[in-house]
Amino acid sequence: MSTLLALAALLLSAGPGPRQDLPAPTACRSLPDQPGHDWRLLPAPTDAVRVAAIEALDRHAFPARLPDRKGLRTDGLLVLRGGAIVHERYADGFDPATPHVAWSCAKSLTAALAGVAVARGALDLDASICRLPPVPAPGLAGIERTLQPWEALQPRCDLTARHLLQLASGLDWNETYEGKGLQASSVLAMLYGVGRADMAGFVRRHRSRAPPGERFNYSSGDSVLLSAVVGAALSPGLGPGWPTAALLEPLGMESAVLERDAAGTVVGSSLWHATPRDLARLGLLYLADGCWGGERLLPSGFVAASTALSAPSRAGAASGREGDRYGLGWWLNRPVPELGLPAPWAGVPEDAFAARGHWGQLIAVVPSLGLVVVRTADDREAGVFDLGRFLTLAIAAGRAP
Amino acid sequence: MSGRRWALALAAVVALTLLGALAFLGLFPGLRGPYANATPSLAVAYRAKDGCTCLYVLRRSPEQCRAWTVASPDVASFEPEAASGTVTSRALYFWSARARYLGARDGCRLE
Repeated sequence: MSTLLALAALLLSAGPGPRQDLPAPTACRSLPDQPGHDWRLLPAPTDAVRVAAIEALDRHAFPARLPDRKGLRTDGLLVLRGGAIVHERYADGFDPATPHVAWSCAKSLTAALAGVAVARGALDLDASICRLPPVPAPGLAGIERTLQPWEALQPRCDLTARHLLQLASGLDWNETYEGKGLQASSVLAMLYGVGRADMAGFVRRHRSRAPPGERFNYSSGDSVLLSAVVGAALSPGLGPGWPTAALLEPLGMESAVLERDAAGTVVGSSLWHATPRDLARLGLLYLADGCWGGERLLPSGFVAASTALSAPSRAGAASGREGDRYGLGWWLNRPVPELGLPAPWAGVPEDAFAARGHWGQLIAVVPSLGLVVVRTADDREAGVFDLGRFLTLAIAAGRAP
Repeated sequence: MSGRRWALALAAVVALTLLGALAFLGLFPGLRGPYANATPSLAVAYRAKDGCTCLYVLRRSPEQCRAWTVASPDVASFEPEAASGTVTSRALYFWSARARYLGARDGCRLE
């Protein structure tokens, strides 16, 4: 009990809370065809090369549906240039108004919300997360054998929001979904098992496997903890509806639904739902360097930092995880020249970056070509989606003539 | 082979089957993994929560949502109740979970 009180005292005294008087975002330039409620639709191309490119993309993305949920199963496809719609197609039963689960694309939205918190002066990416209010102590009886009992929990003052954005907390986390390893899956225990009532508390009870910031380890736990940190930073100024006030409303993302756990933490790792057009708005925000409607929603330099290979990801590439190129909440197509590793998405410009979710969800951005590509899908067969091939076809269909 | 040996072999098969079933059901602590991730327990929570989201957030039909949330092994039921905005899922008599639709911005949550 005395340990618990000491911990609470430490958490409460670790620094000033988030600022209440949030400054307004500063002005900057937006995209030529930034969508409002309505979108600009470019006329269908008439030249043979472009028509053939769009047909090739559609043939690849929408093959005949196979039995037993095998093969590529695209539900929605959207290609945008400069904010205008170049090409849009849906599977039977879906249309522009149908929301779709984005799964781990939510990690990139949570990263953007962290950026908004920084822009508003409510969050310092390199400050200890202990500046924020403590998470409540959950009763997780029966699993103390492997998780730390709450009384012995360290406050994790060595963790920062940047570590969580990099997915490099060092916590002992096992990201396994359906199939093999279900019993040991940390993410299933968090979303559907013993951790589901207080996900951030569940994450914090994991032991450390590595020092924070040392190694990239893909973890929905890190994103949920980041979501709790961002919520604690923004909710004093914006109230419990902070994701809407901070970002969803300014971007016009009317269809977006972010689900929460019973403790009120937004499940910022996984449970974002929106129409493909509204998913595209996140990509467009990053394409516009964080500007929307003449306002700077993300701080200057935040998009550049988010799309540069992070140090923990570089370290991972050097130790056998060469396919994992990650920035701050986004997957990257960056090469690692010092290790002789090429860009992972063959044939795609090296400045491309993407939000990626389970079952083939995708929001890809190619700044050098002004393109954003969204794919919603239901790919249940592992390894069936080849991102490099898909993006190569989408770029051919969407790039400026 | 004597009757006694047959009995022993049968007992061994029964014991192994029982151990396997206990591991699957998450009732055998040594085999249930670090999080007590019992298969039926995860299965009902998944089907209740994602079934609820499918119906009320993604606005698809009950039949589409039933198909969308089939998991392997297929042990969890799918029982939507439109009047209360809930989806209940049950498995193997002992396990059940219910998720409730909370509203347009918050979607669904397990109870």
